[in-house]
Amino acid sequence: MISLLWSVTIVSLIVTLIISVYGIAAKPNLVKKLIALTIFGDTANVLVVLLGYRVIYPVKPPILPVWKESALQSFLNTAVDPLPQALVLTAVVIGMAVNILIAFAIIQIYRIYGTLDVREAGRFLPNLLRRGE
Amino acid sequence: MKGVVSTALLTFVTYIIFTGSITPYDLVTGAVVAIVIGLLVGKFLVENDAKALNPLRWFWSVVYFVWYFLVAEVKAHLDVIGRIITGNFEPGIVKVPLKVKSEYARTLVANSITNTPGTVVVDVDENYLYVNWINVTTENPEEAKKEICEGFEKFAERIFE
Amino acid sequence: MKRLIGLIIILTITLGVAYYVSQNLTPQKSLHPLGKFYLKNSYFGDYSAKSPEAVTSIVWDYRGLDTLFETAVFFIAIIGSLTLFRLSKEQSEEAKQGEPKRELPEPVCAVTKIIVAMILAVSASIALHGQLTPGGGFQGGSALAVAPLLIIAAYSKYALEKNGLDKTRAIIIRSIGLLGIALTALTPLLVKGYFMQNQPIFPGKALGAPLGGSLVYYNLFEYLAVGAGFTAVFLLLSIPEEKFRKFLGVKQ
Repeated sequence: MISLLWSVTIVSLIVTLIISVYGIAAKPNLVKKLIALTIFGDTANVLVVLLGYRVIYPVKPPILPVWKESALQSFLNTAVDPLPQALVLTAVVIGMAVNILIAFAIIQIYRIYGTLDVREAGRFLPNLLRRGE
Repeated sequence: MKGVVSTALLTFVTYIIFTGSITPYDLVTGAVVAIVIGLLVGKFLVENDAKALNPLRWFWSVVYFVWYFLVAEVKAHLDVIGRIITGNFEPGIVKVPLKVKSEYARTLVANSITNTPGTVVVDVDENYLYVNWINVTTENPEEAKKEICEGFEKFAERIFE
Repeated sequence: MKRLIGLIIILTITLGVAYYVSQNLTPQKSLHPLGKFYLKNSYFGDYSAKSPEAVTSIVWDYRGLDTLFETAVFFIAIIGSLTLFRLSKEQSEEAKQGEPKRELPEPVCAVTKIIVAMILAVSASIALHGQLTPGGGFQGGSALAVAPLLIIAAYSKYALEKNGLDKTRAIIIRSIGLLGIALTALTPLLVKGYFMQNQPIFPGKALGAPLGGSLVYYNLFEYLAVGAGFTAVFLLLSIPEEKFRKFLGVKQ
């Protein structure tokens, strides 16, 4: 039963990844592309955190509760792996900053071209390049 | 230097409660953070230091807290429970005049009304609150005030004015 | 109806694949050896960072160089955002012209003032206890950025700019934070250590609590950098649309 729940978690995360990749590629609206991209990033982060999880009953965060040498053994038996969490921690903030950058670009595209549809915005692009000669 | 001490006090208490421990490290960093935040935002929060640090006002706010949660809230809950069971209600929006003038007092009254079940403040202007009331017994502003928020305003006057 | 069929197909495939996979899958019960090393050494041991919080000691000590470069990515992303919305000197002066006013009803604004002071305290607590509890510079900085956002929502951005926190100041605070990180990383070189060395150069314990050596300084500076960086971005985002269209010369 536990292994079924575990595999449902992992497989549904992978399915979410696939759906969000589809969203990035297939949706013409730039805002929808950005939403799909954030879903993609967050799912990847959850997947990485899941790599460090341990399926045992008293499972604890990787923080030493009592600062004594004697508490170390029980801490090692119950704590989860800290490395994936540390990697995700920075990835979340960087992801937020990169999303802000993309959102700014989308806002600027909307202001200049008056559209968010990539097919319509693409039509304006050659004009712009010609003007820049 | 207006409002620094009272804001620093608020910030320090928040810091210690959020941290959840009182080692010397917490106390020192908390004091430094509290003073910095007090200097930064104190002048926007507090207009009169003597008022903010007056123990009598603090006493009244504790009394208000106890009275509000033990008397006003319980009464309103029982009333609303009765109305839910019997189905005896008649909702509508009434105008309620407000006597208190200071910003925090008006906020206290408005939030107290919203937090009791059965009444929600939907808008505020210079002299009136607009309250969505579960059972409109009267549309006269003065009488509605007597039923909705007389107790709140009395205490708000003592605490903030 | 068409959407429902697609949803049902996806759900069935997911559950089917999950059932097939679960027959050969044993959930992970033990630690990876590397994770065990970090847990063992973060507070005791020869390679200790003197911090009971294993995640923070990995972020700023064992894998500090990774984090340094990720901070550089953050720095460049914020710079990119500022560049996309860049304004000339006259234009940014014009963007500041406006009167602070309440944009929401009075009780909301009064509560916002108190909440802002409390958020500042909470974010500082998150950042300064990064070596003891979950939290640290990134999380504290993100919490700090909520405070200017609330002020912008309740009192408009002019209230921030009239009281001295404009875009330039925010960028200066962010640069101070990044400079602090760089200086903390370079300090061990002065006493013949190596780059980003933590113990035993920085004090491991003070005032009755483990400081984690350099971790507390990194967290503090990262807190300033992240909070001020996001504040600068929010200030740019809240420039009214009509003004920006005028600057760009777009008529719509």
